[in-house]
Amino acid sequence: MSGSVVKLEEVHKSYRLGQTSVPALRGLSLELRRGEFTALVGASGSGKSTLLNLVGGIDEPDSGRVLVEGTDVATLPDDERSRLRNQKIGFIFQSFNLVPVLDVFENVELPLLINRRIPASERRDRVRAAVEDVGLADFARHLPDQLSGGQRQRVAIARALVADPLLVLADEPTANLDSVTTHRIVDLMLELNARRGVTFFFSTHDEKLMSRVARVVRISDGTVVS
Amino acid sequence: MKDAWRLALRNLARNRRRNLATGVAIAFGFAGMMLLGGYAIRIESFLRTNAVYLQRVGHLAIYKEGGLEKASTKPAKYGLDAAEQARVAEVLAAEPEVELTARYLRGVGLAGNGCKSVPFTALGVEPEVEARLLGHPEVQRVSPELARPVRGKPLAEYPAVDGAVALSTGLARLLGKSRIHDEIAGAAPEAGLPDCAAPDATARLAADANVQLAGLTYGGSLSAIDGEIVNVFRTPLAETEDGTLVATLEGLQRLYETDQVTYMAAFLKDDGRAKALAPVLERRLREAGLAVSVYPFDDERISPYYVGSMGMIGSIVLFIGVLVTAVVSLSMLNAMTLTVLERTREIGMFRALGFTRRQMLGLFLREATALTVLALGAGALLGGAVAAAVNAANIRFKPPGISGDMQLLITPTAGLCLTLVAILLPLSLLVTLRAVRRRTRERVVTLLTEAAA
Amino acid sequence: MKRHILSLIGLLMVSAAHAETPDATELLRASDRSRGGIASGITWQIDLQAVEDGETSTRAYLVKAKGNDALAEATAPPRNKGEVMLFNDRTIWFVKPGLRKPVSISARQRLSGEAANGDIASTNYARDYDGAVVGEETVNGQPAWKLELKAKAKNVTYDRIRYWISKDRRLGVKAEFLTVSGDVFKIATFDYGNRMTVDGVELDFVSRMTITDASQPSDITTITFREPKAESHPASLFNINNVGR
Repeated sequence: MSGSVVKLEEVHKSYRLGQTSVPALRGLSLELRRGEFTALVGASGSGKSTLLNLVGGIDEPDSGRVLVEGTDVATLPDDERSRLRNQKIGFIFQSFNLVPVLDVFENVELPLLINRRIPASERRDRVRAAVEDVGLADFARHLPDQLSGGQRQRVAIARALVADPLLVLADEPTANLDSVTTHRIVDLMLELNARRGVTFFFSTHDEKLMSRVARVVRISDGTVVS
Repeated sequence: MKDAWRLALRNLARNRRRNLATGVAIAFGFAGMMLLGGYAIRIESFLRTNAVYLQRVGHLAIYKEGGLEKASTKPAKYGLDAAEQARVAEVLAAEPEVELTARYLRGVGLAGNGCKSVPFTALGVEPEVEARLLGHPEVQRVSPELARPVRGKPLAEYPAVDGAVALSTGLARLLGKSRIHDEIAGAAPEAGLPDCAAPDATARLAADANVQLAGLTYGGSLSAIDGEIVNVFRTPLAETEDGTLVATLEGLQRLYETDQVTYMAAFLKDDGRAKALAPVLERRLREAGLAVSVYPFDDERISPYYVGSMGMIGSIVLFIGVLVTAVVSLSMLNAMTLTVLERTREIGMFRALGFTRRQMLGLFLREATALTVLALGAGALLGGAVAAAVNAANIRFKPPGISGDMQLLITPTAGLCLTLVAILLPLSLLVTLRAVRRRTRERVVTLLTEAAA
Repeated sequence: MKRHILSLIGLLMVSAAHAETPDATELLRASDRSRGGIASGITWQIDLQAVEDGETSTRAYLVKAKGNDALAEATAPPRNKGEVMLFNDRTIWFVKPGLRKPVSISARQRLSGEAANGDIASTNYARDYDGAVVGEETVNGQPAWKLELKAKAKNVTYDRIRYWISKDRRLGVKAEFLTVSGDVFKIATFDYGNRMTVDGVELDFVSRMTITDASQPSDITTITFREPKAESHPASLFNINNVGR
């Protein structure tokens, strides 16, 4: 359970907002180790989303380096970066982002469709396993709008895990859920973290969740405060 | 990628109403073009068949050099004499693409009934060749009405009738010849002149099928022969309806006291070869020492009506085609632009899951392809059904410039449909590409956050 | 009263003008006489020579005329012998031995070279055309009235003619034949070398009509009129049912 999965070195990132430049990250450094279950906490606007986006390779830093397994993500060409996301990173979004016309099984299957080397039978097995892992085996043929919020987020979790990523990034995964469901989702993530050894990095502003995770990274004004 | 196609098809169902509207626009556009094109194809083959076979232009018309322009004023100088005819026939016989060769003598004169005379334009034909041409499968398929005499039988069936002639319906009417040879039942023509002012003059004019044809001989003197009307026919063009006469080549040569013909016509096995073959044959004929010109049937000087009509129909089809194309493009552009806009965050999600830009583009192009192909298929069914219904209804109409009526037939061909598909499908994809490309090139984070905002 | 005087003056002026310019119909009637337009019977012979594209063809006719009728019988070349053109007023019949019925033909139709069918029969411009004197000109040194003729009917030989009639002898000396649109397409000149006596009066008679193609001046057709003489012809001669049988 050692080795650096993600390493951020002196990362700066600011956004243009009209004429002014709004700094989001100011020289942030951070390291995530394999198998860690880390919560990212901070007030809204503190730079949580920006940090997750940089780690996930869907945004680029203004300066500094974001290394995923030692590779500087920003230097990769777009297709390479897409492949990296597909094979090493799973995303869980606040608003689930499921494809409404695909059923549970098909939604989970999406990341596997990209890698053509995976044979259909193996794909089916992996999707089934992922769907079972999140406890939705009975709902495999349901469409997203036939599911509750918690169930939808489980689908998203299954989709994030199906390609056996190194790292799962979750941006406010429980923000749209009630507290009971929130705890179930966190339980599920913890269980998967323990069982599969996947590194989890998720942002939240729910202080009640802090006690349940091994590591909490707090950021404020674009830097890590603890 | 089967799954990508499945996704594309499912996505089509997401905004059913919009995609239906777009699909309907494409389907109607396609069906409309299919019908219009089918109609144009029918008209083209009708006009072509009429020009080539019924106006006896042939696929290739062979005139003495300058004869096309000047044979009507100086027939003797610009006709082909017997020796030249034989040499032309020899060259044509050696060309395997030529199905049939015919000799034609064209002339003018006056046709009289004993009371009055009516000017005519005559065509002298070889009856056996004529019979084969009128019975040609192409003629029977495309223009059977005009190929059949209105009354009587083709010239070739009257070898024993001296001076057998066929008159256009208008000419027969002007001459008061309401009956033809077969209907006279052997009654001998009345001797002397009928009293044209008598109350029974009309009946007496119609009592025989005899006409006198007068004309200037190639030597320049007035001549006349007796003719016996064996059939009455309609000409392909209204303007020739009142003064056209078809006689045997031999009979007309007797009238004009010549062994010449005005032109020779070559009928080809393949319509499409006329243009290419014309210069080849002209060169060959010239090499054989013949100062002749060879004109393909679609030469404006030979078939002004065909060329003019096709030009007009072509412009109409082109104009409407451009409109349809514009409508199809715009509705597709509209649909895809809205689709992409609605699914911006989804694009971001797909990109986050690792779909490359190209794969994203592929998803949308598949979607556009599926929509277009389904719409085109529906359009083809619709167009085919309408065409079949119209054809089955046997609607008849009177086209301008053409004598008699014709059936409104719409004959879209596979080639036409494929051409339309070959234009509309890539167009639809191009428009989709235009609508989608910029979005797929945006940074993933922008896609994910923009829509959320 | 005043009005009466005015109209009287007007009348005097009109008749004065009348004395100055002869009546067009009168002029035509006078000139027609020397081109066969005579009520009593006459006979003449015609030699027709046409030069076209450098080739010359000749033919000959015997013409018998009386009033509005004329009969032209082909005498040469031999192959055309026996063919007859019968002019009944403005109707022309072509009769050919062996042909079942005569064919009515048009006066305008080309007979040979530049000559129209109507050119070989007796001329009756006074009957066929509305004429107007439009001026005076000198043709070949002869002072002449210039007339414009417009066809009264469609079946006459020409639509429009410009006609010059000499002042002294009242003979048609030159004609320009015009299309409906007013283009000159043929030009003819006339010679009057023949003389004949009709009803005791001696008159000049046309001896030659020379027709030139306006667009191709080398194409010239000459109609020579020979041996005109007064002869009485029975009316039956000009009955179509008696011709050629």
